[in-house]
Amino acid sequence: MTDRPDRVTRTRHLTVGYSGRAAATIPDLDLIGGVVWHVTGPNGSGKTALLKTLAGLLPPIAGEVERRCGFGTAGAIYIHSVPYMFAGSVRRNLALAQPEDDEVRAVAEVFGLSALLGREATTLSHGEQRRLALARAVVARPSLLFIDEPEGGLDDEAIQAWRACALRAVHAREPVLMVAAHRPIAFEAIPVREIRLS
Amino acid sequence: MLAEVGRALALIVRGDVEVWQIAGVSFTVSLTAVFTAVILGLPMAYVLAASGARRARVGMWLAHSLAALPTVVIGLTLYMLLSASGPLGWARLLYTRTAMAAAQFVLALPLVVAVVLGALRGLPPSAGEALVTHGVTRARHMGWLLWEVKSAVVSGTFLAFSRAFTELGAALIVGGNIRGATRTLTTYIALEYDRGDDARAIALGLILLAVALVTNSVMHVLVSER
Repeated sequence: MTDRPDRVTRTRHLTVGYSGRAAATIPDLDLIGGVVWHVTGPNGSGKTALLKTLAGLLPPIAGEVERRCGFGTAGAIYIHSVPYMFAGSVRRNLALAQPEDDEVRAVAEVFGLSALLGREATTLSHGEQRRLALARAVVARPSLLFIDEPEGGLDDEAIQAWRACALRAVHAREPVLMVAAHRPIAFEAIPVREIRLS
Repeated sequence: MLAEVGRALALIVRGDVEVWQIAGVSFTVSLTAVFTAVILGLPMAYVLAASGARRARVGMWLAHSLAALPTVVIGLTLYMLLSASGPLGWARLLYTRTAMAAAQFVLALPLVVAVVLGALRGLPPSAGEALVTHGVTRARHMGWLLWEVKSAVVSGTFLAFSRAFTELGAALIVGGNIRGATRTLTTYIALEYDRGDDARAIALGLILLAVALVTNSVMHVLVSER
């Protein structure tokens, strides 16, 4: 299966971890769009380290990551398991990657944040903050989107809401989506490829 | 004592030219010093915070150490640098407001850096990483992070102003307490006290006290609103 050249990401003999200490050795990967890449494994198995390394936020301990895009718009974006909300309104947070105003309004509509645009982002509920983090990333139109534990602490309704948003993104084959999660994740009509770390 | 305070209040209310001219010099010198310290101190704090944990720790230690320097030591050092036989004597800055502002800048800069750097180090790593991963440029990166610690920026600025505005040692040594030129509230209070003109000393002290109270109240309001 071929994929757009600007978002090709391959790993070879990759070992990930922090401060020179290996957390996991990763099987060789050729990341493509159109599927959800699900990284699973117990606590401390290196899921976050893998996502951060692929996103370019952590250097590999060993091996190579071939990634042909930078950060942000048209690049790679990583969403933390506890996303950081910047001081100021939801609108200010959505404008982090400097999208046009109409793009901000459109993404707010899709993610159910239109009524909250003027609200202080740090006062949102946990579920709303997760939706905002996802919207803030999607509005930048990344080629690669890495989401760390997106369903942690969410109720069933919020989980369905975020999955619907992720589904729309994957259907359009934009971006390549990789999710780290303890629990199994399933999407209708979208294949999920599992990367199990031990 | 009460009579002296009454005379002092009369001097302030009547608009004694010399008293208000001296207050003007104090404000000019201190605001210049603090403005410069903030303009240079904010990027310095940001660069130190972004340069890794070890360098940030060293920067913090250095800023705290410099903030604790006695003002007379700073004044004496600047005096030796600026005196006719010193390495900067050619600039003829000794006994000028510029020299006083430079001394107060040395007092203010470490305070600004220490307070803002401490706050930046307190931010979770996810704040900086969120900016990087969303493709925020270096210049905007600094702006976003400083906005996150705006309370510390306000506190650092006001603390630096308080220290600069109320210091005596450095201003006296490099300013010389020259009437109409480098005479400030603190240097004049010391002079009037020596002369025994308590009313004038009290009047200037009241202005100094009012400025300190207003400054701290404004800082409190600004910080608690955030």
